[in-house]
Amino acid sequence: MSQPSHLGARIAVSAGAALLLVAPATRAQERTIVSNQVEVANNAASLHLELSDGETFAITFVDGVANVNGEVLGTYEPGGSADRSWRGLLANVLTLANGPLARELGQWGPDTDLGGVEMDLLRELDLVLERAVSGADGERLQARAPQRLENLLEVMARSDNIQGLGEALDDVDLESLSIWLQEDHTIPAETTVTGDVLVAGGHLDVRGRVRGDVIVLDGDLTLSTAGLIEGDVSLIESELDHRGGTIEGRVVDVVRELRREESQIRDRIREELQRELRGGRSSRGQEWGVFARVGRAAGDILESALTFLIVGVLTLLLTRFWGERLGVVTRAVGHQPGRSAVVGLAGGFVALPIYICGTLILAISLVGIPVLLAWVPFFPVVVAIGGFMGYVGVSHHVGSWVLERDFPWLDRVDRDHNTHVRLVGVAAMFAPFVIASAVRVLPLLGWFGGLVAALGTIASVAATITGLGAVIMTRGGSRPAGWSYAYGDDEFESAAWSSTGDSGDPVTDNEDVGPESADADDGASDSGSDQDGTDTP
Amino acid sequence: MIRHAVSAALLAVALAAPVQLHAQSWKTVTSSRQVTDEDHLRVHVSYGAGVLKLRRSEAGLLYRTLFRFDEESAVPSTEYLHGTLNVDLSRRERRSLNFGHRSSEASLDLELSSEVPLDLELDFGAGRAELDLTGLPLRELEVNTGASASVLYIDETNPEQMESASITVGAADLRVRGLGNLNAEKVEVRAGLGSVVLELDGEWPRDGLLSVEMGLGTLEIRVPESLGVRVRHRKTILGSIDAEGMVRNGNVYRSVNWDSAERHVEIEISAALGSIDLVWIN
Repeated sequence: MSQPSHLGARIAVSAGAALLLVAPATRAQERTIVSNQVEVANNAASLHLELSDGETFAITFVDGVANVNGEVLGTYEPGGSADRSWRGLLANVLTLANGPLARELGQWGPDTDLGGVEMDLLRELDLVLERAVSGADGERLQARAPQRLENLLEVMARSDNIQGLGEALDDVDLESLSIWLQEDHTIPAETTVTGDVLVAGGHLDVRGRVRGDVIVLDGDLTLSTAGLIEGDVSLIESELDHRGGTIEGRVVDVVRELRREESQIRDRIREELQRELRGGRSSRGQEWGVFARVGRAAGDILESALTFLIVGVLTLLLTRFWGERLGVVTRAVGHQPGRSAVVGLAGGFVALPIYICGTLILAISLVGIPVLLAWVPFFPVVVAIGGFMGYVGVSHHVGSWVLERDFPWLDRVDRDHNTHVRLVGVAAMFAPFVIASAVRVLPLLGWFGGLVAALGTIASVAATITGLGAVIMTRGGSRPAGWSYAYGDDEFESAAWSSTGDSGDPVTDNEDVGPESADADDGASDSGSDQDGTDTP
Repeated sequence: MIRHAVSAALLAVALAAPVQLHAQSWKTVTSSRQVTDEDHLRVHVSYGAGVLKLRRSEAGLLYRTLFRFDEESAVPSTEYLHGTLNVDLSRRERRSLNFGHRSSEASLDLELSSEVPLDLELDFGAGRAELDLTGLPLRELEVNTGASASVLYIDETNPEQMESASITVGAADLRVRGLGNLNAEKVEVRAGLGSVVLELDGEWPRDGLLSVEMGLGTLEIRVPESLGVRVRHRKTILGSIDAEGMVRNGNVYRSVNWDSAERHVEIEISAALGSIDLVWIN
């Protein structure tokens, strides 16, 4: 029980008692008790009053807790002196009403033989009853509130744990919270407290049952053998003396929990900072460190170099074995690039339907089944070869264009050597990917690298489609495309291209002979033939 | 006041020893209200078991209820609002086999104002009822009792004139005394099974009509010698009527003083099976 009985309060009580003694009847007539209700049971004894001015009082002693209008007045030991005194009063007033009841309530006072916490409760109760029957203002009654606030502030200031208290009260129903500030409190055996319990700056001894959480701030909690706490126990700078009772919820050392959470947050922040410094992937995995970017760029460049190596080898093989056909395709691209692109696009679109339809036709025709065995694997290969041949044909023109730029670092490249020219072209086609990979090393330029890579991809696809068109138009380089008809020399060109080659081809290594001989008539209009150097008319 | 003192003493003993009563979970609840500006009071009592006592309250008190019950088996309620009082003791869900024993020990003491006209409706079931209507200004009276032993009496003339009073008994023993003080123009008594004793003593401020419907049982009507009565007996199947000192004319029995009596009471009896006795009293 708190200690509100300061000198001022004593004087107020004395003054109030004196006034009541002087004119008790007058005061009683000022406030008529319109109705009253008394309830007495094993664990409860209560008095409800309704007064003539509409005010009501509900004084309840239930399970060791005394309440006035729902607010905790104090605690008592069931069967103890305070309980017996209260029940005795109710027994006396049980058959009384209005005036006699008011007089009995007003004249009632705690036995002076009593002492301790329960005496404080009865004094508080006496004040409440006096106020109820006399209608005196609530100053004396409310004098307790500042005292409680003062106690709370004192405990908070001492405990330095507002955060912990706030954490502990996070899920607490404040409506049902019973609070004891700077006082010891005992929940007696075989009694039940419904709701949460907060003890600040005192000792809580749980011998009965608490149907809620228990929060102890700057104090200590003793849980006796028969004690039962159905909720959680939150300790804030407090100790738990567990003597065998039952805690159905969790026991949380709020301060330690807060420190642990703070530590976890600090560790997480430190880890993120370290990861950022290392250049590693952040927690969201969206940002890259410098080293990681360089490594990835190097990987991409290496990948491009390997691809270039493979493509270069295939280019060498293609030039070596199908040089003549490749020459025809190259010239077809040079003379009719637009037409080649359209044909290639159409070919690309119809390739898959043709493949499927051909497969179906061959499958349903018994005769075609042997062909089907070759058709299924070889058609994609043929298309791929055609596309690659066209790609190399376009690359030839790209290489010629690059070599025309007279870059000094390309001086060592033999511009008259078709293979060199084509490899330069292929390298030029791969250049955007390498550039894109290199650019991505730099911060904030990832978008530019992506743009360059996209352009490179578009260029490669366009080259493949265009080249494929040229391959289709030239039947795989077996015959020249129709551009020569426009010049009226179809027969000559056809004869020339169908011949074994250009005898005047200066390419000594005989890598490719077709294109060079075919360029005899198109002169400057064919850049590819110009670069060949062997097709001078 | 002596009654109050005795009640208080008994309750004080009970309240002072709550631990001893712990095993039975007995609870005592009292409620009372002062008379303020009420021009009448409508009272409805619904009481399931135990002992019901009704009497007038002390001056200035509109009502007082005193419940004593096992809180594990019953829930009391006293509600007053705008001139209407509802008193109820309803049962909880049965929790123990000895519920009936416990409930039979429950009690309700109800006191009603003698200063405010009353419309009284009493519904009570198994148990005993002692209804002392003396001094109560009754405008309406309706008593419905199930299986119980009930005594209803009124020793003073009702200051309010009552158009009719109704007493319905299920399977029970009912004894009514002072019917002449009810100041009712008509009194209806319906009894299903049991023993009914009606005493027509009292002041009889005016002539009255008594209607009795009996199912199976005995009916005894006790008539003061000063009162002129005429009994009309109807619908008797196997019932017998013993009307000593009465002049019979078919199903109509008439007292010999009928013409000379100051007050007359017409009695209509409808009994299916049972005996009917008319007894003269001084």
